[in-house]
Amino acid sequence: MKKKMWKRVAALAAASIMTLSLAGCGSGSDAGTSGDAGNAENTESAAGAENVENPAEDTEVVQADGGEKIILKFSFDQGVGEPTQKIVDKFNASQDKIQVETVILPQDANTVHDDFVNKLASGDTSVDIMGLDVVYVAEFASAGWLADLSGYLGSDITDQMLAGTVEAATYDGKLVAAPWFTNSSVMFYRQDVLEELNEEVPTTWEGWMALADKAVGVNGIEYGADFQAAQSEALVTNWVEYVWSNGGDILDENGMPVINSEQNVEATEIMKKLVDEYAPEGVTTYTETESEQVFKEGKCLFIRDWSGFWTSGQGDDSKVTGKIAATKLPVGPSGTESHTCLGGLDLVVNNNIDDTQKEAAGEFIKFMTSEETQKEMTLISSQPPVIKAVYSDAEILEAIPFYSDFFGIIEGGKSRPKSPRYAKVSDAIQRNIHQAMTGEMEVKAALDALQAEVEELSK
Amino acid sequence: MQKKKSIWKEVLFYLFVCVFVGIIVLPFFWQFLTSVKPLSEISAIPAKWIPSSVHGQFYVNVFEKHPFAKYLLNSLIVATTTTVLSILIGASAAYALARLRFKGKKIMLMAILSISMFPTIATLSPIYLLLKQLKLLNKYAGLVIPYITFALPLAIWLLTNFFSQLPKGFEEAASIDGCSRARIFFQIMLPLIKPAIFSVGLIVFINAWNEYIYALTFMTDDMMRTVPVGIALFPSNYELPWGDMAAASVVVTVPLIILVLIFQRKIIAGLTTGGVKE
Amino acid sequence: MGKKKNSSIMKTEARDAWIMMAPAIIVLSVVAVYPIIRTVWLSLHEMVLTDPGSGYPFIGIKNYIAIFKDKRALESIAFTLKFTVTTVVFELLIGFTAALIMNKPFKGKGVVRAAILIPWAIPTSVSAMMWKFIYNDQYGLFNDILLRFGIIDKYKAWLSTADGSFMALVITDVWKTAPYMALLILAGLQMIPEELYEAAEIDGASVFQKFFYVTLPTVKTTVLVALLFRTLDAFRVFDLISVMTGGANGTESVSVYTYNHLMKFLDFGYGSAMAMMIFVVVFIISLIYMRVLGDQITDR
Repeated sequence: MKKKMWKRVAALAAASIMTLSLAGCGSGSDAGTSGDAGNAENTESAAGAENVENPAEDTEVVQADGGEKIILKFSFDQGVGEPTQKIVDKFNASQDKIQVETVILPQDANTVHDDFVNKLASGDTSVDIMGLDVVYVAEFASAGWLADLSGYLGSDITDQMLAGTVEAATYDGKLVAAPWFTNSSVMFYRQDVLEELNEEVPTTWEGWMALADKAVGVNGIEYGADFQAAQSEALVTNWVEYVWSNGGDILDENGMPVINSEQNVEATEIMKKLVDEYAPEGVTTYTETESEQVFKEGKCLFIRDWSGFWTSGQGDDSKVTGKIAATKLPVGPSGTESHTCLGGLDLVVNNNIDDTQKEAAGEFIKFMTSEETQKEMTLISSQPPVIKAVYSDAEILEAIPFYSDFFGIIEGGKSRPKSPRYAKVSDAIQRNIHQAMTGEMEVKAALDALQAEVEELSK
Repeated sequence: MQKKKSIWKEVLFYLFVCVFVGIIVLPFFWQFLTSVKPLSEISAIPAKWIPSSVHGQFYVNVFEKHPFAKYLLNSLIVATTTTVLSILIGASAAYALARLRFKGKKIMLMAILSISMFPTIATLSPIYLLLKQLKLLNKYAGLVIPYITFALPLAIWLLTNFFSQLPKGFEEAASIDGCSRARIFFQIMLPLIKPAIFSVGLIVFINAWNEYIYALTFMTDDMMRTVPVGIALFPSNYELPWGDMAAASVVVTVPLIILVLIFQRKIIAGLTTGGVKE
Repeated sequence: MGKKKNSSIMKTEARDAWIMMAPAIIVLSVVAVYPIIRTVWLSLHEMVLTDPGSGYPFIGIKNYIAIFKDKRALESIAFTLKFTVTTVVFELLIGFTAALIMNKPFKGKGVVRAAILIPWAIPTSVSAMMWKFIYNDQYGLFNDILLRFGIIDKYKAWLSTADGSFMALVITDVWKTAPYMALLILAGLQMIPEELYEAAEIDGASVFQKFFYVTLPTVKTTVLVALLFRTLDAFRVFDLISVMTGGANGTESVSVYTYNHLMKFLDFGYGSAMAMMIFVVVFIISLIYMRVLGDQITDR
């Protein structure tokens, strides 16, 4: 028995040496590949050794190459990752006082929001500048996390910007964010189908439905409509457009909810009809990706989507390349004008960082919002710029022809309610409208419930 | 056993195993198909089972468009360290809980367990603050330490359970032979529960390998990202590179499978003839 | 042995025990205790981050009382319990079956063992998205297969109805975590000395008798521990739901709801109270398991 036991002990020893050497191997080759011996140390420090401090690794303030540079950390999501990195590199090359380092987050609205919240709520200064979705500006500003940018971005600059974007970046009379790029939705439709049927482009929802009735079966069309109705922020942006384009609104001038108005019920019923009779069955589970997939397969007459789909919808994997055109969103029976829902990202500055950092951040933001940078960003990212002049630039119009009409669409765009409690309002809209769309609730009942919830929030 | 009966039994058994494994592996197989299909067939309607051609471009993308090798290395370092440490710390505590006599065992077990009952979201921001104070953000240790806290309760509970299943009287015999506690633990008890250590180690390893939210929050430097966060960084506006993501998920799954295959040869083989038989 | 000597052995034993547990206790208390204390503290305050003007006053247990008046919170708890029980039962059945298979000597056993672990080895962030694709109403694999087998006559949008969503979530979770259960039960099975089976065979026990009189009693505690940990995990389900349904169609789990309060509404007070609520419910579940299991696991 004893002999057996020792055999076992030897086996275990061998196994543990193997595992240990495995760990050793890992960190060793790490030092090899990155040429940064600092990292290799860290695996061991987990064992309790306190050799964590490694001055060479700390990126703060002093740069090795010559003079002292101010280091700015700029965090944004992968959605615009590559183009933004290019622009940032250009900024870094253009001057020698400031070095902007990027912290790229996954492209997921929640992930980005939560990451910023976690840092800002704990008074962190590891990030200086953030690319923040416009809907969160009021929330972050009311929590006191955003620096006032009025000093860096004078009216000479903001006057060149689209008025709606500046308005959305203002909270409590202060400019707390710098509009970076905007976003707006349009109707992308199948030009080939309209030509086949010899039809004009409709401007009303009735018109589109009548067209859809004829279009099914033509050139592979199976569905008369395509949009986003999953319980998500995408549903909110879709729904408010039906409401606004039918003469309705969410809040009145005094900020009181007017959700269960007649126009809104009518608008929501149009949306419901599209879900039931025209859109793919799964439309209530679609966010942008899923809806685009079906459209790109050539199965839908139109898709309501963000303007950038113009480029991405006509890539290698698309069957509708060269067959699509864009127009503005239709109006409802009680509406006179079509309104798109504005999205986009603002640049915001962490309020906790010191004045030198803020000053430098101001410089960077000026660069980012200059006409030249905006034009370049638009060309490489197909994100709509905030500087008005860019829309009439010849080079831009050549690259994205529909921008000539698009400027009018963006100018008619509206912003979602600006409130520190927007997240709650949005959550209430998502739940109630989704229930109306899936038929769990009658449209009127859902709007009544929504009205009551938002009233409760407005108290 | 009679021969005739057993052939039928065997056929049935293999059939069952095949169906069972087939269902389990199917989604992964689909993922693999996606990773070698031409781009235009990935979301073809209806689903396409046999790709018209096969290519490896998505695999090239994974390593060329992203520092994926570095992500893999980071994950490997973090998961391995977490596993080794939690097994060592956990086994020692588990041994005490299962085989030594002292007061307050149940309270201890319950206290350890309660740590893994806490919702992760609520712990995120306090742990971030803590790691910042300790200057451990963007360090491997900054992930290993929080990972150990979720791995330890599991390791301790499972190993306690396995230790307590060993027959009584082992230690007495050994201590009469004059073995110290440490020797009893390392040389007798640990080898006895090898199969359990292997299983628990694998579970801890995969948990650490797959963890997302801590890795995202505590590692902000791109060169320190782990695999799940790395993959989450693939999609951009208007582009969901599902082919690349499928390829990446094959790339991260295959080494784990190979690891299992190798380790079970070395460790599991013949373990039933191991320790407990006395 | 004299009483005196015995008690001194007990003392050294207790001392050794604490020494051996010390590393674990230190690591756990360093990282885990602070977040818990902080959450308790926050839960006793009115603290909405977007409203710093309130001064974040101490409000005692008002947040906790509010939970009981919050219909949505109670519904989310009910849904989560339903989800937990359903998934854990299926996982147990499938996991146990898989473990029994893997414990049998047969050709290709190693491959089966590795294959069964695949679902669990794919990062959750990828697998949740993968399954969302699989359930898609247009190009989803699930529809394709069911249609080929004639189970459905046309494609369905599984995630658009309450029943469909629940089923989809359960299938995905069971697929993902049954391997975990299988692996643990397998470890328990392997600890059973072969002599026990040999002895049973000599006594002429049938397959079922062997299972009920040899296998089950020996792996009972292992299964219970595995169940306990799976229950705790299932009750806190978050990623899966947030990716696949976003809480739509009545699938809002209690963690998703808590997340909404903490991270979306930035209501740290109420959100922390919800987190404590999860903690308490899970604690109660654990106590029940502990009742069944406690003496066996520590009885040495």
